[in-house]
Order: sequence, then C-alpha cells, then structure tokens
Amino acid sequence: MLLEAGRDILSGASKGNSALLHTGFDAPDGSLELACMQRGYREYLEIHEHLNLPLLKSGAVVVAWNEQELEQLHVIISKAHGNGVTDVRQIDGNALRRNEPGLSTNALAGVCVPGESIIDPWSAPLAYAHQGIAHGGSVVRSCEVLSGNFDGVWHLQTTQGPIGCDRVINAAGNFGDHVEAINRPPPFTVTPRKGQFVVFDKPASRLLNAIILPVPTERTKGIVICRTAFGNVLVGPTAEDQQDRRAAEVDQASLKNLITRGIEILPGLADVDVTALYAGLRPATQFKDYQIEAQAERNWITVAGIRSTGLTSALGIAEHVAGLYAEHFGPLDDAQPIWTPVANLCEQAPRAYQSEKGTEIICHCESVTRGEIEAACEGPLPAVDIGGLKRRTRAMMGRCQGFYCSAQVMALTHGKINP
Amino acid sequence: MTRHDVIILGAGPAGLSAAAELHRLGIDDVVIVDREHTAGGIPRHCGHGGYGLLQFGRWMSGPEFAKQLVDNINVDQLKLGHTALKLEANGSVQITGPAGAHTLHGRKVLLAMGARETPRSARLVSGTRPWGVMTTGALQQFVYLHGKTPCQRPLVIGSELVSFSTLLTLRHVGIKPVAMIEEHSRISAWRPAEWIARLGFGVPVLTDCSDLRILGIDRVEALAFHHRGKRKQLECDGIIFTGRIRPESALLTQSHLQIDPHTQGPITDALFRCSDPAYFACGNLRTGVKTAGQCWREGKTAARAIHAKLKAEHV
Repeated sequence: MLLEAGRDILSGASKGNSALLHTGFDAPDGSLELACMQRGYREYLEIHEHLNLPLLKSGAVVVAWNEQELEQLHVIISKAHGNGVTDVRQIDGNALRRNEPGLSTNALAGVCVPGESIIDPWSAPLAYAHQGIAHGGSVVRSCEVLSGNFDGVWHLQTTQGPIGCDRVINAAGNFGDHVEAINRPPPFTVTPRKGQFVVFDKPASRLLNAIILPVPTERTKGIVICRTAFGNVLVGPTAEDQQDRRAAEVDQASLKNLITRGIEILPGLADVDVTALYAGLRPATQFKDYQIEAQAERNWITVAGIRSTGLTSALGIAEHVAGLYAEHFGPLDDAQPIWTPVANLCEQAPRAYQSEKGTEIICHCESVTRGEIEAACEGPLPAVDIGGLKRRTRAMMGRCQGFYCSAQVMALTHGKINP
Repeated sequence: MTRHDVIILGAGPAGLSAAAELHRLGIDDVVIVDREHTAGGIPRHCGHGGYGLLQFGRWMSGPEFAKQLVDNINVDQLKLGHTALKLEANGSVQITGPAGAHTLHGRKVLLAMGARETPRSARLVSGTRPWGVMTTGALQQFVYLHGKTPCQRPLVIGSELVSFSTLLTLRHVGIKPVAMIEEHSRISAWRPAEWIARLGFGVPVLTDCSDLRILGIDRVEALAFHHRGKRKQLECDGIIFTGRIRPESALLTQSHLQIDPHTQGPITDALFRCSDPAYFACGNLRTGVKTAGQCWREGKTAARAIHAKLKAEHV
C-alpha cells in the first residue's frame, strides 16, 4: 500500500524537475546516488517502450564560456570516464557551433555527453504506479501519516484512520525527516532546495538540439537549457534553500535572471514567448548522498535525501530498496512484470489528436483531445484535482494557460475533478 | 486536397464579416474554419451589452452580435470543430477535425484568428501557482458558456477596457470583486471608467501597485503587493488577469510568414497582405487591440482587398 499525503501522486517534490534522464557522468564517484542513477538509467532504457514512455536521445553538451571553465573541461571528462560513461569527449568551438547553431558565439568549447536524454517527468512515475497497482498494490491519496508505533508490526495513525502493516518504507520526500521521526530521531534534516524554471513556447525548440549544461559548481549543476518531451524549451533551475516545505513560489527577479541567462546562451530565445513558469522543491539534506538504509529490527527502510536526480534514479533506487528488503525481510516474489502502458503526451510519437478518428481537440495550445481528458479521470489512479489532470493530459498548460479551454475542461470533468 | 477561392481561418467578427462581404461581392467558394464548435468568436461569451450599434444599428449583447454575424453568412461555408495545424506556401492549410487530417487549398487565405489575453505566466508574476488564477476570457466562458462562477471574491488585475468587461461579467453573476489592481499610476481605460468602477460597481481601484505575489497552495488565498510603496495583502479566491491582448499567432510563428516583433502579428501591407501574397490578415490577429466592431470593419475591408486581387489575377 502506497500512502500519499497529497491529493495526488507527484504533487510534492516530483512535480517540478528538469525532466532529464542522466547518465551519471558528473555524479560523485562511489556514491549511492551514482549507482542508483546508472541502474535507473539502464532499466529505463529497457522498459520505456513497454510502458509507452518517451525517450528523446538528445545528448547533452557542457559548455565552457570562459577560460576558467575551459580548464575544467578535462576534469569533467576524466570524472565521466571514471564513472564509466566512456563516450564523453571534448569538442572544440567549431564543432560546438556546427552541432548547435543557435548557441551564442561566446561559447568556447564543450564536452559532449551523448547518453543524456529527455523524458516525460509525470508519465514515467504514473506508469510505475499503474504497474504497482496491476501487481496487487494500492495507492491511497490524501492520506498523511501522523504518527505510529511499533510492537513487531507497525500501527500508523493517518488522516484516513489507523493503518497496520508489517513494514514501512519512508519515501516521504520533503517530509522525509518528519516521517522518520516516527521511527527514530531523524539523522538528517530536510531543507527544501527550490528550483525555479521558465518554459518557452514551442517555436524555441528549433533553437537547440542537445541539452545545454553549464560547467557545474560545488553547490549546483547550474542553469540548464533543454527541449522538453512536449516540444517546449526549459530554462532552469535556480537553487535556493528555504524552510517552507509545501509552497514553491516563483519570483519575478529570479525568473528575469533565468530569461536573461537563457538569452545569453541561446540568443534566439529573445523572440519567443514564455509559456509557463514553475518551481519545484528538492528534498535536500545536510548530506550530499542519498540517505537510504534499512533498520531491520524496526521493520523500516528509509529512502530520503533524493535531490535533483530522483527521476533518473527512481528505478535504480527501487532495485536497491528491493535488495535491502530481501536481505532483511526475506525474498520478494519474482513476478513476471505486467506492462501498463500510459497515454503518450510527447511530440516524438503520434498524439491522440493525430491518431484518433472522430476526436475533438479541447485544449488547442497543447492539442489535448476530449478522449484524453475523459481517460485521465478514469482508470486505477484517476486525476482528482486540477494539477493531476494537467500532469496527466497537459490540458491548460500551454501558451494561453486556460484562456480558451479551462471552462470547458472543468465542465467535462465536473464531479470528478475538485478544483 | 480541397480547393477554394478563399479560406478564412477564424469565425469571429473579422472572419465572419469578411465572409459576408465576399458574398456581397460575388465570391461564394469560401470556407470558414474555426476550432470552436460555435461560430462568433469572443463576443459569444461577452454576455453584456455594447455591441452592434455602428454595425447593425441597434444595441446588442455579445452573443446577439455573434448571432447576427452568423446570420449574415451562408452557414454551409462554416467548418467548425476544425483546427488548423500548418500554413504552407501558396495557400495550403493543413487542418484536422472529426474526420482526421486533410489539406485545404485556397487561392487566398484570410487569417483572422483573433487575440487573447496575456496570462499570469507570461507576465512573470511571482508567487505560488494555485487554481483560481485566470484571464477574463476563461472567466467569461465559465459564466456565459457554462453557467458557472469559478470564484466569489476575485481580484481584477488591470484596468483596460476589457477589465470593465470583467466587472460586467462578474456583476452578471452577482459578484463584487475585492478590488481592481493597476500597476500604473492611472487606469488604462479612459479616465471616467475609474469612477464607473468605484461608483457604478462599488469596486475600489488601486493604482501604483507593484511586486504582485500570489499566495495559496491548492486554491488562491490572497495577493500580496506593494501599493504606493507600502506592503499590502488582500484575501481573495480568484485573481483575474485582464487585458494585455496579444495576437493568437502560434500558427504563424511556426509558419513561413513573417512576424512583426512589436505586434507579434503577421507583417502586412496596406492591403492586408502578408509576406506570402496568398495570405491576408485582419482583425485582432493583425494588430491588437481592436473592438469587435473595429474587427468587423477590418474584415470587410480585407474582403474587398481579396476580391480585387482575385479579380486582377483572373484577367
């Protein structure tokens, strides 16, 4: 049983990220994070077609903008090779401009990371949840765990009443330390790190091919520019520590900085409209690495401190946690996977409006059909709020932000979606 | 591929008046494509009055005006529920509808897709992103097309003419906004409108507002801002961003047609021709922000330009 405090899955830390599938070329060597990322990366490649999940093999390029950064490039390459990402190589300014004609001419040179890819940040976890349900699991939403006690089994008090279980896996994201406190004095504190993003309208996607990365600093991977699986262009994130664990606000000054930086890197962005804004909260702790461990005698597994790489490593973390579980609590059934493909929302494959006959487009900016909106309100894990509906369909997420379709979407989903 | 003398994209005031004028000039091989299922454009959901006096000689509501526009054309020309996907050189337009995708070819294509308001995101407004933040267009569709009131205590952002349309829409469902918020030191619409808002609607008008910040997690709860240098916070359950009308030009930005970076509409000459002579543009798509009546007039003029061109090419 999966308990989620939010009204829907993906309504916390996981709703706002940069939607990239990382190779781990720049992850700390020997870290659990690196191991999980690389296992997750491999598994995503193996299963994405079964679940109808997109994979845009764009590659990435780390761009040096000054002499200091230029000197860092060989460090990035040897680190990548050390991490087993052996196809990473340096390219000179000419090659860079050939590959990325839209890039500012101030770019000096770059490091190519061919394996970095773009995925859909919401469909992937949704597909995993559907698969979990198909295998007999259940998802309870709006169910906040308040307290619990352990007497050989766990008795949890939740906002939906008491729930008993043999074992608990704490994967509570930005509330990981609060939930951990049910089991023990938490050895870590979550300090959410906010990342703000600006989404540019679809014409911007012609301006670049690869994911454009900066030379990273100690603190953050820096501002990324990339296409999205939905055909837009993303600029972000910022990295700001904050205390509030729920409200991820955008602020105009930061957004303007992101846009300015975006235009410096990709001058053509100056002529493209902003479509959307968002901010996500990364569950950072005082430790750089993931905080994943089992307390066998307490029937408890902690999965915390998953910062910005969680989308990539999710499947790897799952494998690692399954290993911990088997080690301490006995083997898990090795069932044949049931595949639960999700609806395609991405521009690389035919969308519903292109493949369904007799369909009616409701959201014109994102070309979302009536059938897609109706389907999102059905099934084992239907959308129950606006955010969930938007993440499942992309309706109202385009350039007009619901000017044309929000009233009709709400009429269509009346009684199912609670604003 | 289906061939026509003229394809009109957009069944709003500009497109419909162009069709009526083309008919008057003897051009009837015309198809009017609109993605909505009802023709009429924006006036369909402006339930208040203020339309029609100059065009049809009587005071009308938006929906009455929209109906009159439709009554003036041959409804067989309407191709509703069809979305234009792509504009190609020389007048080929890819569309999709209930029967799937196909291509229309027009000797001339008139672009009349209208305009929309700039939403919160493109205005880079700070704060959270809860439900309840919308534009006038969305509000009017809730109220007039679906009979719903999406909020009870909204704030209205902006003081353009369309902002007063927002006040009228809210009054129609018995809602008095908490306040009207304007960033500039005076309202954008003509000055007496401020007194209409204050006295006629009983709505406080706050000018010189800056640093807007939206608060609330699931549903909007308040707006924090600076008012004449002082911090202020107003509780509300809706925030309606009004005005800053811009062309609905997404189809153009992905086409071969040249865009005017200032208006964000297509570049046109004095005869409404775009950079590809097969394409014409009129109404709010060409330059904002015009009233429905002005769009109606421009559609008519553009139709005459198209007629003249078609006749010249025939000789």
